[in-house]
Amino acid sequence: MSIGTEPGIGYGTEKPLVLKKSMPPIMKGIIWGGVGFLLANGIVSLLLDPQPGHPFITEPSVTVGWVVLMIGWVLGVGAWEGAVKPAFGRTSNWVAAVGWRRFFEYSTDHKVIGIQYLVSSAGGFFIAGLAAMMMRLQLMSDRMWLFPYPGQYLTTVGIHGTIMMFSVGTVALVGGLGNYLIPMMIGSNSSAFPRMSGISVWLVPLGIFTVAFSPLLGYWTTGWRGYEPLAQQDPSGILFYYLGVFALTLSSLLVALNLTATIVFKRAPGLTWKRLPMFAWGIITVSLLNIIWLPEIEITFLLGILSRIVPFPFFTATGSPLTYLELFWLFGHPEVYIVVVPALALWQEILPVMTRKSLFAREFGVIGLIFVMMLSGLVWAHHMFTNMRNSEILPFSFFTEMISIPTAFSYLVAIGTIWRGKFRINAPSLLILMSMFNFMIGGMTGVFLADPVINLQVHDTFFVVGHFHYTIIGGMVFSWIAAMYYWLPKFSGRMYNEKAGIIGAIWIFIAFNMTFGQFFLLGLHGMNRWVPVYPSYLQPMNFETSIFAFLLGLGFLFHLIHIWWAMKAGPKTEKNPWKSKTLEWMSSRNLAQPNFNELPEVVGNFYAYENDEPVAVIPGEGGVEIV
Amino acid sequence: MSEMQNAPTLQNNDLPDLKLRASRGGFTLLVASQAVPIIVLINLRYVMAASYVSSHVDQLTGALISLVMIASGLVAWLALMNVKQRNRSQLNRYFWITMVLGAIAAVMALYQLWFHGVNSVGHYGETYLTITGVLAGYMVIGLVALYSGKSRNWRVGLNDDNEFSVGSTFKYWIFIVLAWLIMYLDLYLF
Repeated sequence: MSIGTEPGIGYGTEKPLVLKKSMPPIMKGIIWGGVGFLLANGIVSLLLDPQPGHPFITEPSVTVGWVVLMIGWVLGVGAWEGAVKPAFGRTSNWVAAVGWRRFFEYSTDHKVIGIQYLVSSAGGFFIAGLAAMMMRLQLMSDRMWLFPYPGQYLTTVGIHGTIMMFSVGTVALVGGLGNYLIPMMIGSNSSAFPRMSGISVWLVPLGIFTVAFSPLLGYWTTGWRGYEPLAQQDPSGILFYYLGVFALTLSSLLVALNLTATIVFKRAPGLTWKRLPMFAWGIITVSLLNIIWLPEIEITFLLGILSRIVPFPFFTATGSPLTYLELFWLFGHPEVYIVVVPALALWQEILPVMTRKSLFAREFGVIGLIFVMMLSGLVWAHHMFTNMRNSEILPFSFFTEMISIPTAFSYLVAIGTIWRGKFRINAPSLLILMSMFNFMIGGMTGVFLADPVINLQVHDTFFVVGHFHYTIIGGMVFSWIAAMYYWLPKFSGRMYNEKAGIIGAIWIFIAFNMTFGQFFLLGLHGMNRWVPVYPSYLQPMNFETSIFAFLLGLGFLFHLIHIWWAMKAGPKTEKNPWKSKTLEWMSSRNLAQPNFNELPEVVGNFYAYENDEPVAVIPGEGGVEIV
Repeated sequence: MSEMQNAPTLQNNDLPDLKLRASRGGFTLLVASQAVPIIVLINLRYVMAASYVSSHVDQLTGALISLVMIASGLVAWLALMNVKQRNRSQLNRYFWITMVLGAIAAVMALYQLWFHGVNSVGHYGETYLTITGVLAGYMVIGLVALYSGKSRNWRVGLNDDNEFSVGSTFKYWIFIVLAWLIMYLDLYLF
């Protein structure tokens, strides 16, 4: 049976290119979005809700204008022709672009979308990283010198945290690697809802730019948490925080819906739940978290916007400030696991290949991911111990310590797999080991922080900042880079330089630990968060911490350049250089072709490396390939 | 590690029944995710204002909106029962009736929002206006979805590929009707 496609969905080679596009889709998106913004903003500020002095930009007008801008942007980039017109039964003139142009417009190819997500996420990482470098530059001195006003420093902190959490932490492994790899891994040629996926990816650059340019509306001093009622006291930049995060979380929500349906309903014959790849388990657990918690935070931020532009007193002194904190952390702590769970799954995906040993205690690995997902909704209030009674603290302290148990299952599986295996030292395997070490430090300090006595002492200090950077950067970003090296032959057909990869891994490992390890010491010595000035006795340690932070930033830049070079000019490599047994390595990496000409049937265990039993039957032109 | 043999017939995971199951599953997840804000808002109403109901709230208009929404929901349900018959003109009538009733309800909800008698800086007032506004937003989205279903039904007609997606626009509207009724009980009565 040939691979069927719906009208408007498909690969670049299915239809000849017969239409010449009037202008580049990104340009069309900018124009449609820009004109839409000006019109909507003008209607609100000049006609519906004029304010004293008749300013063209007001808080209500910019909010309505931004919503129209978002719609105009995604329609202009290609959603109008590719998705909206077919949805209304109209004939679509959309033709999938070929060559490099396919990356700069709406697409329904999950591989293109995955790459678009990865590039957007990497862009967000370096924008937020630049903000981090500015913060560390300021903190090299104990007094104001880089930023004239504290509000500028705090806005930079907010931009850094927001873009890192919502466009990198939540997006890179799920929207990026998930979109690219999951259909291949489960033996499918597409995701369940490719049009939705083609739209969702374009919300990421919009969200990043909205947050990055939030100072256009003024400072905001709340950090990535948007704390109320603090946000109500700030100038209007907080509006672009809410709106930018709305775009980013909406994108992740659509990804979650798409990938969950893909994994549940588009698995190849024979791919039972017992055989499902570990990365797919990670994606489905994290997607279920996203489906629950992203709408929750979106409605919370809507309340924040309404509090600002109507205004309502939801979270003021006469309202309930604590309600905002509760609503935020109900999402905020599961968000940490949304970031980390796919990384834990990546360990279990890559280590069996690198040790040539069967995955140890696979069932415990799966149970661990599921229980982390379930418990993640029961720990949120440990961020608020300073506002709680002892009787309320206890259950949250208990569950926070309990969640370390299913998390440790991932270590059990990873260490059991490495144990007495033929471990290959290379860039991906080394980075996975480093990620495990870093996350262990983050996890152990998390157990300390779950203890109310310590929590109350180190609350709002750099100890907490060190802890969550060890989990997020140490756990997730190191695994992301490992995954980029591991699947680089899949992405490009080329191999990276092993020496450069290993040197780069050691470089960021040392710089990371010298930076964030010292955060713990700084915190214990009394260094507060959210302050651009601090007691002078902390200056020498802050100075050297900043030096290592710059080295860490350069290390990440080194990996980016190396990966980019390898994809363009690295030595060509065979289709499956790691001799992995998972299906993505058996599929076509050509963007213009379906993954499988005929869909495979899974007949064995992907992670059994101690025997040569067949894993999948893949029909081809010359017969059947048994792998 | 690999060898070539004669190709057996394999099941294709793009088969129509599997696509239908994927669509159903995806739609169920979508509705579940859309229910989360409703749950948060119900919770918020009791956190902010307990079970207080303002004497200034326009009970008559609220009840009328609910009746119109119930009527539109019943028509949508009837339409859903008849989707499989693929009768284009009959389904088109159902679409029109649902949309007109839905539009009346949406306009009345916007009227409530614009000409309300409640105090917007009070805790009941802020939750009342927020919830009414959010539901008016849901109604507008639901009407756009219904219009897309109507357009596909009229221009393309129903087939195996689009029968579920066209029918699901009615299902989504029924979800909005239920959300409104829950919020009506929450805001106006309890």
